[in-house]
Amino acid sequence: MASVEFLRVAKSFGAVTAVADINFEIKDGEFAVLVGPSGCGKSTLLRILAGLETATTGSIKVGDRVVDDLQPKDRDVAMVFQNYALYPQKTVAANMGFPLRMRGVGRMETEKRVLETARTLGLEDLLKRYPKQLSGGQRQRVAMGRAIIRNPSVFLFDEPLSNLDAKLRVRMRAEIKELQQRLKTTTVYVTHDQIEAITMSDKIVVMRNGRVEQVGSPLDVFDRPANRFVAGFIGSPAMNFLEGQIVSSGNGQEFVTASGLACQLPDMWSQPVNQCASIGIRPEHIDLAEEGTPGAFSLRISVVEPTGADTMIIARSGTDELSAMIKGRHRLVPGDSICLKPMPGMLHFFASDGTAIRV
Amino acid sequence: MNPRTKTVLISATLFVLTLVFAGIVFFPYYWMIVSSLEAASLFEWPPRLVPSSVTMEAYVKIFTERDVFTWFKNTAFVASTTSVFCTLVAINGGYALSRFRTHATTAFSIFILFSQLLPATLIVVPLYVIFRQTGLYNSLIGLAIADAAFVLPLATWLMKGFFDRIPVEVEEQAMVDGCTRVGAFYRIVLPLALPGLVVVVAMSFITGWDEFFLARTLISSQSNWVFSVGLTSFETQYSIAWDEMMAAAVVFALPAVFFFLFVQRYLVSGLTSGAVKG
Repeated sequence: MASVEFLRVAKSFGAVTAVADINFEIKDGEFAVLVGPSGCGKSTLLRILAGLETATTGSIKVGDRVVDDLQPKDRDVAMVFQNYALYPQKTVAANMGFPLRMRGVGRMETEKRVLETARTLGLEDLLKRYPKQLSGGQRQRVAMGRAIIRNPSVFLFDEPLSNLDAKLRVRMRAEIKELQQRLKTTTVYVTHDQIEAITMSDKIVVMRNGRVEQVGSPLDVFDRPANRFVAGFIGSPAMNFLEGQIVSSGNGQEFVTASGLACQLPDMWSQPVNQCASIGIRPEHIDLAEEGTPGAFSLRISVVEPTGADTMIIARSGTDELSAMIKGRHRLVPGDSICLKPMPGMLHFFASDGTAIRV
Repeated sequence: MNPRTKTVLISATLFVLTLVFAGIVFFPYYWMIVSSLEAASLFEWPPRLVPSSVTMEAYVKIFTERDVFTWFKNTAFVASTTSVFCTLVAINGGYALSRFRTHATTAFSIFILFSQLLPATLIVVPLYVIFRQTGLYNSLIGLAIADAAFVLPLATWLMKGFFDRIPVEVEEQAMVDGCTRVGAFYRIVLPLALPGLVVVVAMSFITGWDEFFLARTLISSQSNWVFSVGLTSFETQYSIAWDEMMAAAVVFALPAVFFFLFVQRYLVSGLTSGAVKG
């Protein structure tokens, strides 16, 4: 096990900058998730860590070792690729034993460890099969088995669940997390799925356009996003944003949108009046309210999506649109008028450059 | 006509047509064997499809009076060497063109394909001059190099196609698992490209085996004759020893036929597997 440290890492492909100025640390035994939209550089960063790409500038430390000049095989990392990358011509047992054989482990010892690992992952009946004879979930497990068998310092996962169906993905998510908690091996996991990121990680690294937008614990990133991008990317359904400005009213200060929706600012608001350009409200932080409730928005329902336990409502007023996740089931139909009120203290404020304003 | 009868009729027609085409293709080989066993029937009209008498005299003659063993040995050497040269260069070249993509490698890929467009007759004169200057003229190694050079563009492209179909991740996985790049290539990638490898080995071996034009031009001494050149020696100023020539042709063709039969299962899958995306 080892910590992983990125020190001002950058990578360019010709004139295109894939990642720039990456600077963060993953502690020993931590489960870190690199998350961001497609093309944000998260896989490139993982490949640089694996040694499959060379950083243009900067340095990476795994434990106490600077690994920049080491070949992938010498970095003591194990990787699980998106398409599992099993060796098609080898059986499950040979696939799992391959990293050990490459390290000069004897045949008997390899067989013993393959069997032990296969038992842990429920693969002992499949050892003689070839990858083409396995289901997606089984292939995924074989790839994981091949990674854990040699007890590496760091696990690297490159979107390993994206080829699985939704149900299997949830199950494998839990399995990977459980495995990591048991082995306590430092893990770097790449995904574009923010639910995977929040549910699995100890630390989230949100990336955009090759840069790190925020590093923090999942709940920290969820509750205190550093900017509008992070706020909109983390959380499902996505956060609502309303554009507008702060105006003085009889009760103090209000945030008013172009369509006239008004929202009372907290009493402790002390930022300059012109700084706040938008507010963010998570759909689950909106309640139904009676007509005329102070601070509530009057809107017209566009879409009603019952999810079983809750009801998702999309409502509009002029150019403003709000998604609200209301607890329980409600007899609402599109076209109805509705009054929605953000929960007190749950608003997020953003400056015109997108930076979060802390209050 | 009911659909079943129609299907049977179509199948029967196709079967008969296949038989006819197979007959057309195989008749020269049959005629070669018949003529080697009884030369007298070669020019008779109507031709006798089944020889009236069978004699192995021509076979005995070519092995006792001609240098067939030397031709055979030289041909086997040239074909094997061509195959080894061609395969070594094609797998490495094909891999490089598949994995290291730059503007230069793309241009080079197209360039080597263009070289395939040049006819042998155009290249043979400069090749002759170069071989004379480099001491490769009249050497079997030289002939193997020349034969390999003619097969290489196609062989390299074939291997490139096979490597293109192997996901890069499999190779990268091997590198993370403990292989060097070269180790990953030989342990993981090359076994996956085996059908392509068999095609290249077979194609280059058969080319080296039956090539005539370069062998006639680049080899001068009789001791270095390969089989295809040796066959022409049955034609003298006043006569052609048809039975001996045909017997020699049978002996010449047999190893290539057996080799082809041995590899044809891989050959068919290898040639067609690049056709559709896997």
